[in-house]
Amino acid sequence: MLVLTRKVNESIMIGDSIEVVVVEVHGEQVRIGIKAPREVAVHRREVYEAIQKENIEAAKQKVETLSKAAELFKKPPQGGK
Amino acid sequence: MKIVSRPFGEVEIDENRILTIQGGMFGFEGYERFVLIGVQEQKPFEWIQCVDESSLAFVVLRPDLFMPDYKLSISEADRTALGVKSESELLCYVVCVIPDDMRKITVNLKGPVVVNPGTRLGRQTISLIEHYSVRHPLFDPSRDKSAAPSGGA
Repeated sequence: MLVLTRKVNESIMIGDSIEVVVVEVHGEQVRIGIKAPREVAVHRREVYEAIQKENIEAAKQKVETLSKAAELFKKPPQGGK
Repeated sequence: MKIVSRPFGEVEIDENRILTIQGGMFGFEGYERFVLIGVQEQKPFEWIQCVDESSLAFVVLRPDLFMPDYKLSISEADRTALGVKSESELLCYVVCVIPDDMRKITVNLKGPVVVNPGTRLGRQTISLIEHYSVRHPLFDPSRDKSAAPSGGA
């Protein structure tokens, strides 16, 4: 991993179209600005990882009895909702 | 075209219905070609089955079927990549995790899989709605007084 030290308002270029700017530093928090082309998705890592983890669980499921879940789905919880 | 599916073994699919999930599903990047398959007994649950890897398939559900007020809100990057101006142009599916106890199924509201039906281009996106969970219980026990007996079954 490339590690660079920057001061507030300094920035880093990734490729020729992505810019990462240090906007503000306040105690332990760093506000980071990202300029990227519209088609590049930018997300907090922990959200990405949470989704990845759920996908991995979902891909593992043994689901012979999915029809049972389908029955549960069709039966309304409190009689007509 | 015939493919081998995880839930149903060999199945016949229409090649024109193959979806391209741009970038693949999170954690399974590299596998982009999927097809939506399902059987009547399992409806409304469906599967997105990877065309090129038979062991890779996910159970999905359309969120409007259990949460009429589910709101799809995704980044401009995602919309641009899919070639749409607004979320209303997209089909939306949420991935289901099915434990042994069927009553504890959870759905991922935070990482919906969206598809542009006109181009068959899809993407797993991250919802911009803060409070949506990656693990939302499908059958909400707090609303379901008539279901599971407290003694456990």
